[in-house]
Amino acid sequence: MQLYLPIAELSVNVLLMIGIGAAIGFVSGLLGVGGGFLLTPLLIFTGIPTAVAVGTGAAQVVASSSSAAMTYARRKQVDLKLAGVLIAGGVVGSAAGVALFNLLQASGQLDLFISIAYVGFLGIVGGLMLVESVRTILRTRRGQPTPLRKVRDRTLLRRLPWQTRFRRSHLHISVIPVIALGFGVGVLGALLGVGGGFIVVPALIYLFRVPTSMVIGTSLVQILGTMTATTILHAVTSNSVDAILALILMVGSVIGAQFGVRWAVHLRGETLRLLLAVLVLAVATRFLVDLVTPPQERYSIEEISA
Amino acid sequence: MRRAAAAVAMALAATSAAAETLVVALSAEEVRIAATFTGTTITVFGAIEDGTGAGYDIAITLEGPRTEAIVRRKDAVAGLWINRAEARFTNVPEFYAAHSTAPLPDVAAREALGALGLGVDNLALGPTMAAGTAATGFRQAVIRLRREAGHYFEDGGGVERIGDNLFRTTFTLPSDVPDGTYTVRALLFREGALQAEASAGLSISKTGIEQFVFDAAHQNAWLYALAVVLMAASIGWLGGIIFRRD
Repeated sequence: MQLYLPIAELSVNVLLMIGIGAAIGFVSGLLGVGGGFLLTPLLIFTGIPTAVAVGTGAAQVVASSSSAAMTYARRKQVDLKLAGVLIAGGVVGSAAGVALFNLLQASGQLDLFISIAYVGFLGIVGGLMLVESVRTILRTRRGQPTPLRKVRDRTLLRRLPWQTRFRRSHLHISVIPVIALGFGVGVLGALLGVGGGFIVVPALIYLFRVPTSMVIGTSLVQILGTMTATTILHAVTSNSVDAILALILMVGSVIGAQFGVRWAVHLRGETLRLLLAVLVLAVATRFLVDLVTPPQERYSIEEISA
Repeated sequence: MRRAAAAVAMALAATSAAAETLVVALSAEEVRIAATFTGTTITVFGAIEDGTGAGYDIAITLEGPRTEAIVRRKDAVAGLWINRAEARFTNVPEFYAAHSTAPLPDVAAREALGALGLGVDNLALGPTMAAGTAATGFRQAVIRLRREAGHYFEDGGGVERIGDNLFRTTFTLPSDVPDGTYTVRALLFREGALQAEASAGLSISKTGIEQFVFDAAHQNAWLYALAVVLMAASIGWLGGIIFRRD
Protein backbone atom coordinates (compact mmCIF):
# COMPACT_ATOMS: atom_id res chain seq x y z
CA MET A 1 0.00 0.00 0.00
CA GLN A 2 1.59 3.24 -1.19
CA LEU A 3 1.17 6.50 0.68
CA TYR A 4 2.37 9.92 -0.42
CA LEU A 5 4.55 11.75 2.10
CA PRO A 6 3.93 15.49 1.73
CA ILE A 7 7.28 16.75 3.06
CA ALA A 8 9.55 14.01 1.73
CA GLU A 9 7.57 14.44 -1.53
CA LEU A 10 7.58 10.80 -2.50
CA SER A 11 5.40 7.74 -2.14
CA VAL A 12 6.38 5.01 0.27
CA ASN A 13 5.04 1.60 1.16
CA VAL A 14 3.12 2.06 4.42
CA LEU A 15 3.78 -1.51 5.58
CA LEU A 16 7.53 -1.08 5.03
CA MET A 17 7.52 2.12 7.11
CA ILE A 18 5.46 0.53 9.90
CA GLY A 19 7.92 -2.37 9.76
CA ILE A 20 10.89 -0.02 10.13
CA GLY A 21 9.14 1.71 13.03
CA ALA A 22 8.39 -1.64 14.68
CA ALA A 23 11.98 -2.87 14.18
CA ILE A 24 13.38 0.33 15.74
CA GLY A 25 10.88 0.04 18.58
CA PHE A 26 11.80 -3.60 19.10
CA VAL A 27 15.52 -2.82 19.23
CA SER A 28 14.99 0.12 21.56
CA GLY A 29 12.81 -1.97 23.86
CA LEU A 30 15.27 -4.88 23.73
CA LEU A 31 18.42 -2.88 24.27
CA GLY A 32 17.14 0.15 26.16
CA VAL A 33 18.31 2.67 23.57
CA GLY A 34 16.42 5.45 21.78
CA GLY A 35 16.93 4.00 18.32
CA GLY A 36 17.57 7.30 16.53
CA PHE A 37 21.03 6.11 15.45
CA LEU A 38 19.35 3.23 13.58
CA LEU A 39 16.19 4.98 12.39
CA THR A 40 17.84 7.89 10.56
CA PRO A 41 20.20 5.58 8.59
CA LEU A 42 17.37 3.16 7.75
CA LEU A 43 15.26 6.03 6.40
CA ILE A 44 18.21 7.26 4.33
CA PHE A 45 18.81 3.72 3.00
CA THR A 46 15.15 3.44 1.89
CA GLY A 47 15.45 6.62 -0.16
CA ILE A 48 13.97 9.28 2.13
CA PRO A 49 15.90 12.54 1.54
CA THR A 50 18.64 12.92 4.17
CA ALA A 51 17.27 16.17 5.62
CA VAL A 52 13.80 14.64 6.07
CA ALA A 53 15.31 11.47 7.57
CA VAL A 54 17.16 13.51 10.22
CA GLY A 55 14.25 15.87 10.99
CA THR A 56 11.69 13.07 11.19
CA GLY A 57 14.11 10.85 13.14
CA ALA A 58 14.33 13.62 15.73
CA ALA A 59 10.53 13.68 16.05
CA GLN A 60 10.49 9.92 16.54
CA VAL A 61 13.07 10.22 19.36
CA VAL A 62 10.69 12.66 21.11
CA ALA A 63 7.97 10.00 21.05
CA SER A 64 10.16 7.13 22.21
CA SER A 65 11.84 9.11 25.01
CA SER A 66 8.61 10.69 26.31
CA SER A 67 7.08 7.32 27.10
CA ALA A 68 10.11 6.08 29.06
CA ALA A 69 10.82 9.46 30.69
CA MET A 70 7.31 9.41 32.12
CA THR A 71 7.89 6.03 33.73
CA TYR A 72 11.11 7.21 35.40
CA ALA A 73 9.52 10.49 36.52
CA ARG A 74 6.73 8.51 38.18
CA ARG A 75 9.35 6.51 40.07
CA LYS A 76 11.04 9.79 41.06
CA GLN A 77 14.26 8.70 39.33
CA VAL A 78 14.88 12.03 37.60
CA ASP A 79 17.18 14.83 38.74
CA LEU A 80 15.20 17.68 37.20
CA LYS A 81 17.80 20.34 38.00
CA LEU A 82 20.61 18.35 36.38
CA ALA A 83 18.36 17.56 33.38
CA GLY A 84 17.46 21.26 33.14
CA VAL A 85 21.11 22.33 32.96
CA LEU A 86 21.81 19.64 30.35
CA ILE A 87 18.79 20.80 28.32
CA ALA A 88 19.96 24.45 28.53
CA GLY A 89 23.25 23.41 26.94
CA GLY A 90 21.39 21.07 24.59
CA VAL A 91 19.08 23.74 23.16
CA VAL A 92 22.06 26.00 22.35
CA GLY A 93 23.92 23.02 20.86
CA SER A 94 20.85 22.07 18.85
CA ALA A 95 20.58 25.60 17.41
CA ALA A 96 24.25 25.48 16.42
CA GLY A 97 23.81 22.00 14.93
CA VAL A 98 20.73 23.00 12.91
CA ALA A 99 22.57 26.09 11.58
CA LEU A 100 25.50 23.92 10.47
CA PHE A 101 23.06 21.37 9.02
CA ASN A 102 21.36 24.03 6.86
CA LEU A 103 24.72 25.39 5.68
CA LEU A 104 25.81 21.89 4.64
CA GLN A 105 22.54 21.31 2.83
CA ALA A 106 22.87 24.55 0.87
CA SER A 107 26.38 23.61 -0.24
CA GLY A 108 25.34 20.12 -1.36
CA GLN A 109 27.61 18.36 1.14
CA LEU A 110 25.01 17.28 3.72
CA ASP A 111 24.87 13.64 2.60
CA LEU A 112 28.64 13.37 2.61
CA PHE A 113 28.92 14.92 6.05
CA ILE A 114 26.18 12.70 7.54
CA SER A 115 27.76 9.57 6.04
CA ILE A 116 31.24 10.37 7.35
CA ALA A 117 29.84 11.40 10.74
CA TYR A 118 27.89 8.14 11.02
CA VAL A 119 30.89 6.05 9.94
CA GLY A 120 33.18 7.70 12.51
CA PHE A 121 30.71 8.02 15.32
CA LEU A 122 29.07 4.59 15.02
CA GLY A 123 32.42 2.96 14.25
CA ILE A 124 33.91 4.22 17.51
CA VAL A 125 30.85 3.56 19.67
CA GLY A 126 30.22 0.15 18.11
CA GLY A 127 33.89 -0.85 18.31
CA LEU A 128 34.16 0.10 21.97
CA MET A 129 30.96 -1.73 22.83
CA LEU A 130 32.07 -4.82 20.89
CA VAL A 131 35.40 -5.02 22.73
CA GLU A 132 33.77 -4.38 26.09
CA SER A 133 31.01 -6.97 25.69
CA VAL A 134 33.29 -9.66 24.25
CA ARG A 135 35.70 -9.15 27.15
CA THR A 136 32.91 -9.43 29.69
CA ILE A 137 31.52 -12.55 28.03
CA LEU A 138 34.96 -14.23 27.95
CA ARG A 139 35.61 -13.26 31.56
CA THR A 140 32.28 -14.69 32.68
CA ARG A 141 33.04 -17.93 30.82
CA ARG A 142 36.34 -18.25 32.67
CA GLY A 143 34.57 -17.51 35.93
CA GLN A 144 36.57 -14.35 36.68
CA PRO A 145 34.81 -11.50 38.46
CA THR A 146 34.34 -8.25 36.56
CA PRO A 147 37.00 -5.83 37.80
CA LEU A 148 35.72 -2.61 39.33
CA ARG A 149 36.57 0.57 37.52
CA LYS A 150 39.19 2.82 39.03
CA VAL A 151 37.83 6.03 40.50
CA ARG A 152 39.13 8.82 38.31
CA ASP A 153 40.55 12.03 39.63
CA ARG A 154 37.76 14.60 39.72
CA THR A 155 39.69 17.60 40.98
CA LEU A 156 39.14 19.45 37.69
CA LEU A 157 35.38 19.12 38.08
CA ARG A 158 35.75 20.53 41.60
CA ARG A 159 38.03 23.38 40.62
CA LEU A 160 35.97 24.89 37.77
CA PRO A 161 33.82 27.92 38.62
CA TRP A 162 30.02 27.98 39.10
CA GLN A 163 29.94 25.13 41.56
CA THR A 164 26.33 24.04 41.96
CA ARG A 165 24.56 21.60 44.19
CA PHE A 166 22.37 18.94 42.54
CA ARG A 167 20.51 17.71 45.58
CA ARG A 168 18.77 14.69 44.11
CA SER A 169 22.04 13.31 42.73
CA HIS A 170 24.03 14.21 45.88
CA LEU A 171 26.45 16.16 43.71
CA HIS A 172 28.32 19.40 44.12
CA ILE A 173 30.04 20.16 40.82
CA SER A 174 30.64 22.95 38.33
CA VAL A 175 27.86 23.46 35.77
CA ILE A 176 30.40 24.13 32.99
CA PRO A 177 31.13 20.49 32.06
CA VAL A 178 27.41 19.68 32.41
CA ILE A 179 26.48 22.44 29.96
CA ALA A 180 29.31 21.35 27.65
CA LEU A 181 28.00 17.77 27.64
CA GLY A 182 24.47 19.00 26.89
CA PHE A 183 25.80 21.24 24.11
CA GLY A 184 27.80 18.45 22.45
CA VAL A 185 24.87 16.05 22.51
CA GLY A 186 22.62 18.82 21.18
CA VAL A 187 24.89 19.41 18.17
CA LEU A 188 25.06 15.68 17.50
CA GLY A 189 21.29 15.28 17.78
CA ALA A 190 20.60 18.11 15.35
CA LEU A 191 23.09 16.80 12.77
CA LEU A 192 22.38 13.07 12.99
CA GLY A 193 18.86 12.80 14.43
CA VAL A 194 20.07 10.79 17.42
CA GLY A 195 19.10 11.26 21.06
CA GLY A 196 22.63 10.60 22.28
CA GLY A 197 21.70 8.47 25.30
CA PHE A 198 24.71 6.22 24.77
CA ILE A 199 26.97 9.23 25.35
CA VAL A 200 25.00 10.89 28.14
CA VAL A 201 24.52 7.73 30.21
CA PRO A 202 28.24 6.77 30.44
CA ALA A 203 29.19 10.42 30.95
CA LEU A 204 26.78 10.81 33.85
CA ILE A 205 28.00 7.57 35.45
CA TYR A 206 31.76 7.77 34.97
CA LEU A 207 32.39 11.50 34.66
CA PHE A 208 29.93 13.06 37.07
CA ARG A 209 29.26 10.05 39.38
CA VAL A 210 25.51 10.49 39.24
CA PRO A 211 23.84 7.73 41.29
CA THR A 212 22.83 4.82 39.04
CA SER A 213 19.18 5.15 40.03
CA MET A 214 19.06 8.71 38.62
CA VAL A 215 21.10 8.20 35.43
CA ILE A 216 18.61 6.73 32.96
CA GLY A 217 15.67 8.91 33.98
CA THR A 218 17.73 12.11 33.91
CA SER A 219 19.24 11.20 30.54
CA LEU A 220 15.76 10.49 29.12
CA VAL A 221 14.37 13.85 30.27
CA GLN A 222 17.43 15.56 28.79
CA ILE A 223 16.92 13.74 25.46
CA LEU A 224 13.21 14.61 25.47
CA GLY A 225 13.94 18.31 26.04
CA THR A 226 16.82 18.60 23.58
CA MET A 227 15.16 16.62 20.80
CA THR A 228 11.94 18.62 21.20
CA ALA A 229 14.00 21.75 20.49
CA THR A 230 15.79 20.00 17.61
CA THR A 231 12.52 18.86 16.00
CA ILE A 232 11.05 22.37 16.24
CA LEU A 233 14.21 24.01 14.85
CA HIS A 234 14.42 21.59 11.90
CA ALA A 235 10.72 22.04 11.12
CA VAL A 236 10.92 25.84 11.28
CA THR A 237 14.23 26.45 9.49
CA SER A 238 14.17 23.80 6.75
CA ASN A 239 10.64 22.29 6.69
CA SER A 240 12.22 18.87 6.96
CA VAL A 241 9.92 17.14 9.47
CA ASP A 242 7.33 14.92 7.80
CA ALA A 243 4.36 14.61 10.15
CA ILE A 244 2.78 11.72 8.25
CA LEU A 245 6.00 9.69 8.10
CA ALA A 246 6.61 10.46 11.79
CA LEU A 247 3.12 9.27 12.72
CA ILE A 248 3.55 5.95 10.87
CA LEU A 249 6.97 5.34 12.45
CA MET A 250 5.76 6.24 15.95
CA VAL A 251 2.80 3.87 15.81
CA GLY A 252 5.07 1.07 14.60
CA SER A 253 7.70 1.72 17.23
CA VAL A 254 5.29 1.93 20.18
CA ILE A 255 4.08 -1.57 19.27
CA GLY A 256 7.55 -2.94 18.48
CA ALA A 257 8.96 -1.68 21.77
CA GLN A 258 6.58 -3.87 23.76
CA PHE A 259 7.87 -7.02 22.10
CA GLY A 260 11.45 -5.85 22.54
CA VAL A 261 10.97 -5.36 26.26
CA ARG A 262 9.52 -8.86 26.63
CA TRP A 263 12.41 -10.40 24.70
CA ALA A 264 14.98 -8.49 26.74
CA VAL A 265 14.08 -10.52 29.85
CA HIS A 266 15.47 -13.67 28.21
CA LEU A 267 18.86 -12.24 27.22
CA ARG A 268 21.90 -11.37 29.34
CA GLY A 269 23.25 -7.84 29.53
CA GLU A 270 26.51 -8.67 27.74
CA THR A 271 24.67 -10.50 24.97
CA LEU A 272 22.42 -7.48 24.48
CA ARG A 273 25.43 -5.14 24.32
CA LEU A 274 27.13 -7.46 21.84
CA LEU A 275 23.98 -7.43 19.66
CA LEU A 276 23.84 -3.65 19.82
CA ALA A 277 27.54 -3.38 18.92
CA VAL A 278 27.06 -5.62 15.86
CA LEU A 279 24.04 -3.57 14.73
CA VAL A 280 25.88 -0.28 15.15
CA LEU A 281 28.92 -1.57 13.23
CA ALA A 282 26.71 -2.92 10.44
CA VAL A 283 25.14 0.52 9.92
CA ALA A 284 28.59 2.18 9.96
CA THR A 285 29.86 -0.33 7.39
CA ARG A 286 26.92 0.32 5.08
CA PHE A 287 27.67 4.07 5.10
CA LEU A 288 31.35 3.38 4.45
CA VAL A 289 30.58 1.05 1.54
CA ASP A 290 28.30 3.68 -0.02
CA LEU A 291 31.05 6.29 0.33
CA VAL A 292 33.77 4.28 -1.42
CA THR A 293 31.75 2.39 -4.06
CA PRO A 294 31.59 4.17 -7.43
CA PRO A 295 27.96 5.35 -7.66
CA GLN A 296 25.76 4.03 -10.48
CA GLU A 297 24.59 7.55 -11.15
CA ARG A 298 27.10 10.31 -10.49
CA TYR A 299 24.67 13.15 -11.10
CA SER A 300 21.86 14.37 -8.87
CA ILE A 301 19.29 17.14 -9.22
CA GLU A 302 18.12 19.46 -6.50
CA GLU A 303 15.13 21.63 -7.31
CA ILE A 304 15.14 25.11 -5.87
CA SER A 305 11.54 25.98 -5.17
CA ALA A 306 10.62 29.60 -5.58
CA MET B 1 -14.69 13.58 -22.58
CA ARG B 2 -18.14 14.36 -23.96
CA ARG B 3 -17.75 18.04 -23.12
CA ALA B 4 -14.39 18.21 -24.81
CA ALA B 5 -15.72 16.46 -27.91
CA ALA B 6 -18.59 18.92 -28.00
CA ALA B 7 -16.13 21.82 -27.79
CA VAL B 8 -14.20 20.46 -30.74
CA ALA B 9 -17.39 19.99 -32.72
CA MET B 10 -18.39 23.58 -32.01
CA ALA B 11 -14.98 24.82 -33.00
CA LEU B 12 -15.28 22.89 -36.21
CA ALA B 13 -18.68 24.39 -36.91
CA ALA B 14 -17.30 27.89 -36.49
CA THR B 15 -15.61 28.46 -39.81
CA SER B 16 -13.08 31.15 -40.47
CA ALA B 17 -11.24 32.25 -43.54
CA ALA B 18 -7.49 32.56 -44.16
CA ALA B 19 -4.83 30.04 -43.12
CA GLU B 20 -5.48 26.85 -41.22
CA THR B 21 -5.77 27.12 -37.46
CA LEU B 22 -5.68 24.63 -34.59
CA VAL B 23 -8.13 24.13 -31.77
CA VAL B 24 -7.49 21.92 -28.75
CA ALA B 25 -9.56 20.77 -25.78
CA LEU B 26 -8.65 18.62 -22.77
CA SER B 27 -10.57 15.78 -21.17
CA ALA B 28 -10.03 17.56 -17.83
CA GLU B 29 -8.65 20.97 -16.98
CA GLU B 30 -7.91 20.07 -13.41
CA VAL B 31 -6.28 17.05 -11.76
CA ARG B 32 -6.45 16.63 -8.01
CA ILE B 33 -3.86 14.47 -6.27
CA ALA B 34 -5.15 12.83 -3.12
CA ALA B 35 -3.55 10.21 -0.86
CA THR B 36 -4.77 7.34 -3.00
CA PHE B 37 -3.67 8.92 -6.33
CA THR B 38 -2.03 6.27 -8.49
CA GLY B 39 -1.74 8.30 -11.67
CA THR B 40 -4.26 9.31 -14.29
CA THR B 41 -4.61 10.08 -17.99
CA ILE B 42 -5.33 13.32 -19.80
CA THR B 43 -6.70 13.15 -23.31
CA VAL B 44 -6.16 16.05 -25.69
CA PHE B 45 -8.55 16.47 -28.61
CA GLY B 46 -7.72 18.73 -31.47
CA ALA B 47 -9.09 19.93 -34.75
CA ILE B 48 -7.62 21.59 -37.80
CA GLU B 49 -9.79 24.32 -39.23
CA ASP B 50 -9.67 25.27 -42.87
CA GLY B 51 -7.10 22.66 -43.48
CA THR B 52 -6.72 20.69 -46.60
CA GLY B 53 -6.67 17.55 -44.53
CA ALA B 54 -4.02 15.07 -45.48
CA GLY B 55 -0.28 15.53 -45.40
CA TYR B 56 0.15 17.16 -42.00
CA ASP B 57 1.91 16.20 -38.78
CA ILE B 58 0.87 17.09 -35.28
CA ALA B 59 3.02 17.33 -32.13
CA ILE B 60 1.39 17.80 -28.76
CA THR B 61 3.45 18.60 -25.67
CA LEU B 62 2.49 18.61 -22.01
CA GLU B 63 4.84 20.71 -19.94
CA GLY B 64 4.93 21.11 -16.16
CA PRO B 65 6.01 24.11 -14.12
CA ARG B 66 9.60 25.26 -14.54
CA THR B 67 11.95 25.69 -11.58
CA GLU B 68 15.55 26.50 -10.88
CA ALA B 69 17.66 23.37 -10.34
CA ILE B 70 21.16 22.58 -9.17
CA VAL B 71 22.77 19.53 -10.76
CA ARG B 72 25.70 18.00 -8.91
CA ARG B 73 28.29 15.49 -10.04
CA LYS B 74 30.18 13.13 -7.77
CA ASP B 75 33.90 12.64 -8.27
CA ALA B 76 36.31 10.37 -6.44
CA VAL B 77 38.41 12.30 -3.93
CA ALA B 78 40.89 10.24 -1.91
CA GLY B 79 38.74 7.15 -2.47
CA LEU B 80 35.47 8.82 -1.44
CA TRP B 81 32.70 9.76 -3.87
CA ILE B 82 31.96 13.39 -3.20
CA ASN B 83 29.78 16.05 -4.88
CA ARG B 84 32.48 18.14 -6.53
CA ALA B 85 31.12 19.94 -9.57
CA GLU B 86 27.75 21.59 -9.96
CA ALA B 87 25.75 23.51 -12.53
CA ARG B 88 22.70 25.65 -11.98
CA PHE B 89 19.91 25.68 -14.55
CA THR B 90 17.39 28.47 -14.25
CA ASN B 91 14.40 27.09 -16.12
CA VAL B 92 13.97 23.31 -15.87
CA PRO B 93 10.51 21.82 -16.48
CA GLU B 94 9.49 19.40 -13.75
CA PHE B 95 7.56 17.37 -16.30
CA TYR B 96 7.67 17.21 -20.09
CA ALA B 97 5.98 14.89 -22.55
CA ALA B 98 5.94 15.16 -26.34
CA HIS B 99 3.55 13.08 -28.43
CA SER B 100 3.45 13.29 -32.21
CA THR B 101 1.96 11.63 -35.26
CA ALA B 102 5.46 10.50 -36.32
CA PRO B 103 8.84 10.44 -34.58
CA LEU B 104 9.95 14.08 -34.13
CA PRO B 105 12.96 13.88 -36.50
CA ASP B 106 10.46 12.97 -39.24
CA VAL B 107 8.14 15.82 -38.32
CA ALA B 108 10.65 18.65 -38.70
CA ALA B 109 14.36 19.29 -39.19
CA ARG B 110 16.69 19.25 -36.20
CA GLU B 111 17.25 23.00 -36.36
CA ALA B 112 13.52 23.68 -36.42
CA LEU B 113 12.93 21.38 -33.43
CA GLY B 114 15.78 23.05 -31.57
CA ALA B 115 14.41 26.55 -32.29
CA LEU B 116 10.97 25.49 -31.03
CA GLY B 117 12.40 23.65 -28.01
CA LEU B 118 10.34 20.67 -29.18
CA GLY B 119 11.29 17.21 -27.93
CA VAL B 120 13.01 16.03 -24.74
CA ASP B 121 16.51 16.46 -26.19
CA ASN B 122 15.74 19.95 -27.46
CA LEU B 123 14.33 21.35 -24.22
CA ALA B 124 15.60 24.77 -23.26
CA LEU B 125 16.69 24.53 -19.63
CA GLY B 126 17.73 28.15 -19.25
CA PRO B 127 21.20 29.58 -18.92
CA THR B 128 23.76 27.75 -16.80
CA MET B 129 26.91 28.80 -14.97
CA ALA B 130 28.98 25.86 -16.14
CA ALA B 131 30.74 26.22 -19.47
CA GLY B 132 31.61 24.10 -22.50
CA THR B 133 31.57 20.34 -22.41
CA ALA B 134 30.85 20.34 -18.65
CA ALA B 135 27.54 22.11 -19.31
CA THR B 136 26.64 19.46 -21.91
CA GLY B 137 27.27 16.70 -19.38
CA PHE B 138 25.08 18.38 -16.77
CA ARG B 139 22.36 19.08 -19.33
CA GLN B 140 22.34 15.47 -20.46
CA ALA B 141 22.22 14.39 -16.82
CA VAL B 142 19.06 16.44 -16.17
CA ILE B 143 17.37 14.86 -19.17
CA ARG B 144 18.57 11.34 -18.33
CA LEU B 145 17.53 11.54 -14.68
CA ARG B 146 14.11 12.97 -15.54
CA ARG B 147 13.61 10.35 -18.26
CA GLU B 148 14.48 7.58 -15.81
CA ALA B 149 12.06 9.04 -13.28
CA GLY B 150 9.35 8.90 -15.96
CA HIS B 151 8.91 12.67 -15.91
CA TYR B 152 10.27 13.32 -19.41
CA PHE B 153 9.13 11.18 -22.30
CA GLU B 154 8.30 11.12 -25.99
CA ASP B 155 5.95 9.01 -28.08
CA GLY B 156 6.56 9.26 -31.79
CA GLY B 157 3.25 7.63 -32.62
CA GLY B 158 1.22 8.91 -29.70
CA VAL B 159 -1.00 11.30 -31.64
CA GLU B 160 -3.81 9.53 -33.44
CA ARG B 161 -5.47 11.02 -36.52
CA ILE B 162 -9.25 10.69 -36.60
CA GLY B 163 -10.33 11.41 -40.10
CA ASP B 164 -8.77 14.30 -41.99
CA ASN B 165 -9.17 17.15 -39.55
CA LEU B 166 -9.36 15.64 -36.08
CA PHE B 167 -6.65 14.22 -33.86
CA ARG B 168 -6.31 12.91 -30.34
CA THR B 169 -3.63 11.82 -27.86
CA THR B 170 -3.62 10.53 -24.30
CA PHE B 171 -0.91 11.42 -21.79
CA THR B 172 -0.37 9.08 -18.87
CA LEU B 173 0.52 10.96 -15.69
CA PRO B 174 2.50 8.89 -13.14
CA SER B 175 1.58 8.75 -9.45
CA ASP B 176 4.41 11.13 -8.56
CA VAL B 177 3.52 13.75 -11.16
CA PRO B 178 4.66 17.16 -9.86
CA ASP B 179 1.87 19.60 -9.09
CA GLY B 180 1.48 23.04 -10.60
CA THR B 181 0.29 24.74 -13.74
CA TYR B 182 0.81 22.73 -16.92
CA THR B 183 0.64 23.87 -20.51
CA VAL B 184 -0.59 21.76 -23.41
CA ARG B 185 0.77 22.92 -26.77
CA ALA B 186 -0.31 21.55 -30.12
CA LEU B 187 1.78 22.27 -33.21
CA LEU B 188 0.75 21.67 -36.80
CA PHE B 189 3.51 20.92 -39.30
CA ARG B 190 3.28 20.57 -43.02
CA GLU B 191 6.39 19.35 -44.81
CA GLY B 192 8.55 20.23 -41.84
CA ALA B 193 7.25 23.78 -41.50
CA LEU B 194 5.19 25.00 -38.56
CA GLN B 195 1.75 26.10 -39.79
CA ALA B 196 -0.29 26.71 -36.70
CA GLU B 197 -0.16 26.44 -32.96
CA ALA B 198 -2.66 26.24 -30.10
CA SER B 199 -2.36 25.86 -26.34
CA ALA B 200 -4.43 25.12 -23.26
CA GLY B 201 -3.80 25.12 -19.52
CA LEU B 202 -4.03 22.24 -17.06
CA SER B 203 -3.85 22.56 -13.32
CA ILE B 204 -2.53 19.71 -11.19
CA SER B 205 -2.99 20.25 -7.47
CA LYS B 206 -2.62 18.24 -4.30
CA THR B 207 -5.66 17.93 -2.10
CA GLY B 208 -6.62 16.40 1.17
CA ILE B 209 -4.40 15.70 4.15
CA GLU B 210 -1.14 15.84 2.13
CA GLN B 211 -1.79 19.37 0.94
CA PHE B 212 -2.93 20.38 4.42
CA VAL B 213 0.30 19.05 5.97
CA PHE B 214 2.44 20.63 3.23
CA ASP B 215 0.77 24.03 3.60
CA ALA B 216 0.98 23.91 7.38
CA ALA B 217 4.68 23.00 7.31
CA HIS B 218 5.52 25.84 4.93
CA GLN B 219 3.09 28.57 5.95
CA ASN B 220 2.71 28.03 9.70
CA ALA B 221 6.04 26.42 10.48
CA TRP B 222 6.01 27.19 14.21
CA LEU B 223 2.48 25.92 14.70
CA TYR B 224 3.29 22.83 12.61
CA ALA B 225 6.44 22.16 14.63
CA LEU B 226 4.55 22.42 17.92
CA ALA B 227 1.83 20.12 16.59
CA VAL B 228 4.40 17.47 15.56
CA VAL B 229 6.12 17.62 18.96
CA LEU B 230 2.76 17.39 20.74
CA MET B 231 1.77 14.44 18.56
CA ALA B 232 5.08 12.71 19.33
CA ALA B 233 4.80 13.29 23.07
CA SER B 234 1.17 12.15 23.22
CA ILE B 235 1.81 8.99 21.20
CA GLY B 236 4.71 8.17 23.52
CA TRP B 237 2.54 8.99 26.52
CA LEU B 238 -0.37 6.89 25.22
CA GLY B 239 1.96 3.99 24.49
CA GLY B 240 3.32 4.26 28.02
CA ILE B 241 -0.19 4.10 29.48
CA ILE B 242 -1.49 1.30 27.27
CA PHE B 243 1.56 -0.89 27.89
CA ARG B 244 2.28 0.24 31.44
CA ARG B 245 4.47 -2.30 33.18
CA ASP B 246 4.86 -1.01 36.72
